[in-house]
Amino acid sequence: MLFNSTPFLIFFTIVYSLYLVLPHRWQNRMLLAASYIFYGWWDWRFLSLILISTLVDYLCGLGIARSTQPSRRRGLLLVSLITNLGLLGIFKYCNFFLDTFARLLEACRIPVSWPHLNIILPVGISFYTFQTLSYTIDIYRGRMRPTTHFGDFALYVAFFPQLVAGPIERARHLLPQILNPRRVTLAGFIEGCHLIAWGLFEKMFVAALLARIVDPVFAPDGSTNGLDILTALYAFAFQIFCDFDAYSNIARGLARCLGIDLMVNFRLPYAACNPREFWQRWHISLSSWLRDYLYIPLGGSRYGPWITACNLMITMLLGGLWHGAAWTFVLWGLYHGLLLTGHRLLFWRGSAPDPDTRPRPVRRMITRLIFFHLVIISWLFFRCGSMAQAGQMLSGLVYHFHWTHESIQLFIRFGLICLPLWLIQIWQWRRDDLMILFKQHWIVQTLIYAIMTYLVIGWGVMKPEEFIYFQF
Amino acid sequence: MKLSLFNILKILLLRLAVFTVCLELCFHIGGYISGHIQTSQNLTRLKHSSGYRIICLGDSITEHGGKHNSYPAQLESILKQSGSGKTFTVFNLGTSGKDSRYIAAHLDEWIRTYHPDVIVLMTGALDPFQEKFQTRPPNLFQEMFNRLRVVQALSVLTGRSPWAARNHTDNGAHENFAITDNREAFNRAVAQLPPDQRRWCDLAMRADAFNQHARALALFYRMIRLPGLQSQRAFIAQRIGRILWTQKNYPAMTAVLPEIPYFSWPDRTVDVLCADPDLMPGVLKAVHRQLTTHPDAREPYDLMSACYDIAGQPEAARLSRQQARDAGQDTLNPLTKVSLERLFSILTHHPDIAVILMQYPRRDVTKLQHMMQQIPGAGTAIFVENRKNFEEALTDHAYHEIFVDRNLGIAGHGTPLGNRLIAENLAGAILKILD
Repeated sequence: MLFNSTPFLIFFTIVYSLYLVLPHRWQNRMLLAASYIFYGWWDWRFLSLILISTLVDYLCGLGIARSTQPSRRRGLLLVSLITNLGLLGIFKYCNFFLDTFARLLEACRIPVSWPHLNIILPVGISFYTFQTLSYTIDIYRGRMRPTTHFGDFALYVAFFPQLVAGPIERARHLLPQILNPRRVTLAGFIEGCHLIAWGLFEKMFVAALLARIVDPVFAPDGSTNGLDILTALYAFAFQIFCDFDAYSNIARGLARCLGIDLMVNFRLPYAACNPREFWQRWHISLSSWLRDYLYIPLGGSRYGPWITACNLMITMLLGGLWHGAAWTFVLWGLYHGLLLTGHRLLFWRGSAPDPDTRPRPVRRMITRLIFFHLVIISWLFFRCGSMAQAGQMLSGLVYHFHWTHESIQLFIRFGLICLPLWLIQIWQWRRDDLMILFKQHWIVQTLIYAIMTYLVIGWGVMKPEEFIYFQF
Repeated sequence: MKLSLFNILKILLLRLAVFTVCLELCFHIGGYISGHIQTSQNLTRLKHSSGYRIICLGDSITEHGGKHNSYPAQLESILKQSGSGKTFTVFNLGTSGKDSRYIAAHLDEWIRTYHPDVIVLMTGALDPFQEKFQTRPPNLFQEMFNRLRVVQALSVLTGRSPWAARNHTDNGAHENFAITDNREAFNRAVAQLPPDQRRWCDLAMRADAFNQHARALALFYRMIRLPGLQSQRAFIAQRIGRILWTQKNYPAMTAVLPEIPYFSWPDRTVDVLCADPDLMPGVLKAVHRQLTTHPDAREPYDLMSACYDIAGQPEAARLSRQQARDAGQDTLNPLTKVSLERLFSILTHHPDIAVILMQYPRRDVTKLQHMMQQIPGAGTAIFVENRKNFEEALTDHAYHEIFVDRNLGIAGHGTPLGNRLIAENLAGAILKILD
């Protein structure tokens, strides 16, 4: 079920009405059933995978906590890792590895032909496997106690607002909220509604309209004019941000209505001045997961600059691969790894700079703009269907840059679509408060909501369309 | 303020009122801006245009699609590629929500601004909705309420949402519904289904051929729900109806009757079904559905009057017979007639402008032609029909690939493909005129 569709509206109305009248234990059971219905709506066969992951990690978690032998604990952790990463590997990367291996062998003049397996990518598998892994790893490190309640653990894994593309929650954050009774307050409900409304606006107006600019240019017969490509890159940067931020906001809003707090996933990422700051603002749940469970165990930055560079590259490569089974994603990860490494080796002074010694605002703005353009090059790799196309577009960007009337109009269209978003986000940035809109006087809020509603109805796209991050 | 129910309601209502007022303002400002943009774009193109100038007048069916996908835009690119050696500029002067009265009022201004060589006119669909020409004039409050853009937007939205569409049984719940009784088309649709669904269809047709009614019925009911067979609903419904009629299962037949085209109904269907007073509302609903899917046909009105006769409602029966006569007589809506008369009286002062009257997709143009004979000055107008091309296209494509909605009953706003069909048809006519 997509969030911006009528079946989901009906679904959530029923779920929420039940939620308000049931006691805590029954709330959890109802939410679990609802989450499985939500997930099974795409394809009931996917449920088997999530159940396997849930069961394995539940048992492993209990086993690790109960045993005292290090070898046994490590063994159970390995079981959990292999199961989850194995599920991910088979269902997401099998064909990718086979194809790459086949191409390698062909390059060595060894012809191979094995069947291309018809594997459907289960929705959200990258998210919930990481979420359950965080549970087992945290238990292994002694950071938390396991839960003996299977139903509640299953709900932690399958919680429907964030199951499909939502913030990758940590067990320490979400599990206690599930295990303990929650309070549903009017203020929480209103705040949840605000978040959902803002998310829907981002998705149905900004992201949907930007897609209409981006898709024609990235199509095989798309424009080769450099200015068009540049506009499409700018548009895609904001399209993917809005798409993903919308999903996260709606997820957070739904959870807030239920009295559950999910972590913030985006904090004005394009306000970042350098790669390090970018990854503290973009897809925070994934980047912090990779930092805590991959980068730091590898050694982090403790073993000198070269090992740090290695660790950064490995982490970003795997982060890129996480997004999808294609070399363009790996290249995207590699590119970000290089940016991070370069920044660390060249500009990093060891700790965050003092506010007093920070460069002047103008210099910061220039740095910001430069870095923004570096990031949109990375989005080129992310969006392109193939390396060949990426190369084509880059050459078009550099060699075929023409200021035609139509290209300028396209750029202006892009600007107009993003204008409401930019205004709100600059406001959020200046006040350093993501919820600034929801704290205004009710007349201001009503006016802004009226404008947002008009934009969605009059210009936006009302049909349910997929969120980009669903394929992950 | 105390948190009492009264206070909460007061707060909510106040906020809702402010919200509605702001939204209404937004609609007005937005409409003004987008109209202004369209006009300024047209005027810019006018300055740089040469060769033949064609203006396309109409409502949202004309305007829909914007700079690349509306039918005037596609017309221009088709004419450019036609290789006739002439240059063409096509101006899209369609305005959503405006009826023929608006066009007649502005025609003079447009002729003076654009100096067209050809005028293409596709209007009339919105005329029945003008208050002045309805049989019962609404009161002032109702009129003002209906004029609010917010209200109009709401009614459009609820008409478009899948939930509402499912309740509007006379409009059809499935966008890709196209009436075809073509066995070949059915076989083609079945061939594109996955293997297990194809098997059901073969089993169903075989069971039907061998008069294994229960089995055939069960399979047909399953088939009619398949997403891949939505374009064949009428075909499947006919078969279901035939079985049920043989079994004399009249309640079930009444349930499936809306899906069966009226020309497939067995003789005396209305007489037999309406003999049971419980089935009467269902039959009436089915007849109404036929009226929306076949707006130009006369027979549904006959069926309706037969229904009312049996129900003992002579007044309603008389009204239906009157409507049948009107449908047969091909009368235009009175507002359309007045507007067209005014249009052609203006056009007599511009004898060098060619006028093309184009009918909406899938609608009959002979009525229009018949009516035009009574309007002075309309003798030289050229008529373009969009029937054959769309019926052919609908045998190959699903409804939703050609139309975005059902605003015209059997047709609606076009997708780029749908608009292209109109444009190709029109291009042929225009090139013939200019030769």
